[in-house]
Amino acid sequence: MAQGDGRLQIERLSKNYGGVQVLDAVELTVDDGEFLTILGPSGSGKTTILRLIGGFTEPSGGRITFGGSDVTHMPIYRRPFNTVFQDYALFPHMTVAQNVAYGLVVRGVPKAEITPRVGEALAVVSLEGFMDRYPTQLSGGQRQRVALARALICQPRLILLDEPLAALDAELRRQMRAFLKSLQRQLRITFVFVTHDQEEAISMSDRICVINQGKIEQIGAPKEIYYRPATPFVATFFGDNNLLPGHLHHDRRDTANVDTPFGKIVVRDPRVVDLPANAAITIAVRPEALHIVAASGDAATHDNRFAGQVLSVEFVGATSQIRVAAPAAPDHPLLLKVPSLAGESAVRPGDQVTVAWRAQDCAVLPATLV
Amino acid sequence: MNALRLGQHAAMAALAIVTAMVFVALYAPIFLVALLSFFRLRRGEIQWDSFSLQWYGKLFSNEGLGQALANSLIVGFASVLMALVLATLLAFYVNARPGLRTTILQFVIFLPFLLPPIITGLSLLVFFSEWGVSRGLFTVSIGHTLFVLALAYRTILTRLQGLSRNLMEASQDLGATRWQTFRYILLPNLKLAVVTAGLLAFALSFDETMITLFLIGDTNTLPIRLFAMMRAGFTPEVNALVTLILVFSILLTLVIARYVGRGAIGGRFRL
Ligand SMILES: Nc1ncnc2c1ncn2[C@@H]1O[C@H](COP(=O)(O)OP(=O)(O)OP(=O)(O)O)[C@@H](O)[C@H]1O
Ligand SMILES: [Mg+2]
Repeated sequence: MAQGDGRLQIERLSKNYGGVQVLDAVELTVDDGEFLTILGPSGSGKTTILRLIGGFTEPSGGRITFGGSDVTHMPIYRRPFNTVFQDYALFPHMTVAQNVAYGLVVRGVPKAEITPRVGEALAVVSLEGFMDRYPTQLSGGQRQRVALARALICQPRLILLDEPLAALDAELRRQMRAFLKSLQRQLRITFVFVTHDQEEAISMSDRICVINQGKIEQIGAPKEIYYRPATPFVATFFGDNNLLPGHLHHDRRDTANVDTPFGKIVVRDPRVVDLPANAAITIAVRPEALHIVAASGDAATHDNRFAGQVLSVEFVGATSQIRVAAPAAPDHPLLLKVPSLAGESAVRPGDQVTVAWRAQDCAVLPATLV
Repeated sequence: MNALRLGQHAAMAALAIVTAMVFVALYAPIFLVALLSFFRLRRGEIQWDSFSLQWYGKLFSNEGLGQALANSLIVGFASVLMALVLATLLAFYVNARPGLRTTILQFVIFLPFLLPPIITGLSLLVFFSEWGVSRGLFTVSIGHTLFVLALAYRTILTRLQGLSRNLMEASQDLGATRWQTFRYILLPNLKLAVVTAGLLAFALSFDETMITLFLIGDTNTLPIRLFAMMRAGFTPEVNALVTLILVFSILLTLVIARYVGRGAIGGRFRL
């Protein structure tokens, strides 16, 4: 296989099924050895992107290049990629060893070479003792690992995984997450991983590509996506967020004042530099960034504060969710998450409290709420 | 408590009796025919001391019968082979592109099976004589192919549709060409369905009478020969023939049951 650059480049890729636009001009670059996750709600087009890369579906427009050469119309069996299917797609009439060997057999690799390589591949996924079993005689997690070994033995430059953990139970899923991640680091193979589980995406990926209704919403490192969402969709798809509409008021490098229904809010986000003064924006603040403070003091550490009334307190396990409404915006309550500690909670519905937060905990989205 | 158990026993006994009666009604005549091929009947009583294989001997010295059996086998094998090839191709086509056109195609495939055989036979007869094709084993084989096609097609299509599309995609994804995918993945998974379809189709062809009657001309297949023998008069020879056909059918059924019952697919794929 060609050495050197193994960068996957997707340019203006689109797909429509009978007039319905399923993918709309997707632009995406995956670096050599990167773990990239495509994340989005059901029906957003994740599988479609993967199938286009794998060659199982023809695009309606755009192109795909790998290491500089165009693979858009290359037949499936000649692409240097392998796929781990969601239902594993193990061959039911073959043993584990035969399944794993398949990619080598069809390429005409000599038998003397196949046997040791099958052993190695099965060792990587710790299934040495299962050579002669049939897929129906394996558990879900074992099938998953066979599918992985079957892909790995072909020494692909890039592996496509379509929700490979979706069918496993929670504990196994956690183990497989760690296993996949360490495997990917160790082998330095590019992973394009599809999921609709945001926790999975955050814990495994180098970068995440968030897609919604066939359009890319944002591409970035997990922390970037979490703390600096680009769109209201990303801000709310990743956990909870408080969204406040406002106008950028006064501009001073990365710090700005924003006029909101809650009054003037100080924000600090590098992205405000690029925005025109008086732009209509949306502020996103995480519930865990909001604190209930004493009515006076603490001004040094908290740039923003407002007084409000507690509407509800809800115990949800590790945290309690508190809703606080400001008199200025009664129908726009803010959500707070505070650690649940033993004993009675500090606030009750009806209490008057002061809520405060720091300027750098505000993400500025260059978009208005719809 | 006891009364309840008693009632249950009574119900079970009644069920057993009904079952036994159904079995007797179904199989007694067949059993009788088999008996009468070995023993003589006098004034409604079987003469148990009259055991002989003479009727089987007569049967085997009857040359016309051997020829009829050979013809039945030829027609069976020829039509099964043609039907399996056609059914496999059609099943692949229909599976690949579902739509209105394939719905119509399916209807056409099923027609000869659903129409009264007398209509199918007559239409084919008219068709062949219009084209100047003389009647014989060839025309009968064509008729049987059309007749058993629907069954073979349905059996193979069902299996094909049951195979995950991912299996084919996974094979190509691992570097297999289309041909290798067909050879190593599709064929082994379809083998069971094809064998089953072949056995069922053969069983259908073997005792098909009505269509054959129209298309056979002046030779015989086994059912036609049997028919002719019955017309000449009811001889114990007929009993012997029926018994032989029965044994053959039972064996065929056992083979089918064994193949279909065995879930595993004996695909051979060498490392
Ligand atoms: N073969 C097809 N014909 C028509 N529409 C299709 C086809 N395949 C997918 N679609 C449509 O394309 C859209 C995207 O589908 P896709 O399978 O890519 O979603 P996904 O993001 O993988 O969703 P999920 O998380 O549920 O797997 C859906 O609205 C789906 O209905
Ligand atoms: Mg999907």
